[in-house]
Amino acid sequence: MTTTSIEHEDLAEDLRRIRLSGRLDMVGVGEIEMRFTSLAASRPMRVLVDLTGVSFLASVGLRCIIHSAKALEQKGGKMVLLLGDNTVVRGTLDTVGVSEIIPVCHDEASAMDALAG
Amino acid sequence: MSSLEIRAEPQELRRASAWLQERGERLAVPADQIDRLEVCLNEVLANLLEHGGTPVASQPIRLRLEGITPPAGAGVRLVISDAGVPFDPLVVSDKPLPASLDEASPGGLGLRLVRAYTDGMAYRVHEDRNELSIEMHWSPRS
Repeated sequence: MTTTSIEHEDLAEDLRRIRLSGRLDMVGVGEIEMRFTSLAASRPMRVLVDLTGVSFLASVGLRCIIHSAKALEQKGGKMVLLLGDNTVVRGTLDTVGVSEIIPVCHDEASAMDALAG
Repeated sequence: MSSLEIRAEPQELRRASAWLQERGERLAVPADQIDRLEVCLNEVLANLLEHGGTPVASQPIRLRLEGITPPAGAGVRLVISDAGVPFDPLVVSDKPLPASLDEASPGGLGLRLVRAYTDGMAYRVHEDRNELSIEMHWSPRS
């Protein structure tokens, strides 16, 4: 069973990429939630959340992402989700309507366009 | 092993997931179906840990996966039995999907996933335990 990890890279002063990998279940989210919230929603910026390496996404993971996206938007920032060809995660996002309220992109170029818009 | 007992602890959810994947493979459940069933199992167990109260921690949660024959095609039934506070997920209706981030609320996402992914659900109280059955159906591949 895969573990959960979080990495980040500042691509510009106001642009951050956060890469989540592994299982976003109750255990996995418990491991990364504080760091994710701190990285994603502490100041107004553009945040690209890369979910291409996420193997399992439960509602506890969705809640974590929605909570940070909401806090970021309230600060004047914007979050975009990058999925690549991760159909498992895409199905979950579509089912609960998250892809209607947080932009979801298949490749990095379109994610950057969405963040610029 | 067609059944498994777990404790009401977060780490046990991963043991349950591994058991489901292994058991599903033995029953030749298609990968996409077993992945969806794993989401359902995870959501039901997470809900039990959050809302099952003290009784759920006092006795093991029992899981059983069995092959079934629906009217058309093939299927499996996952039965989750627990001693927690009685809760019938079938009587709870889904909230409308949010139109914006501002409207998004964290509650009810797990149950929405379970409803969307299953082909049949049943709930009963049996011998003082909640028993939730979740079915997945599929057409045989040629």
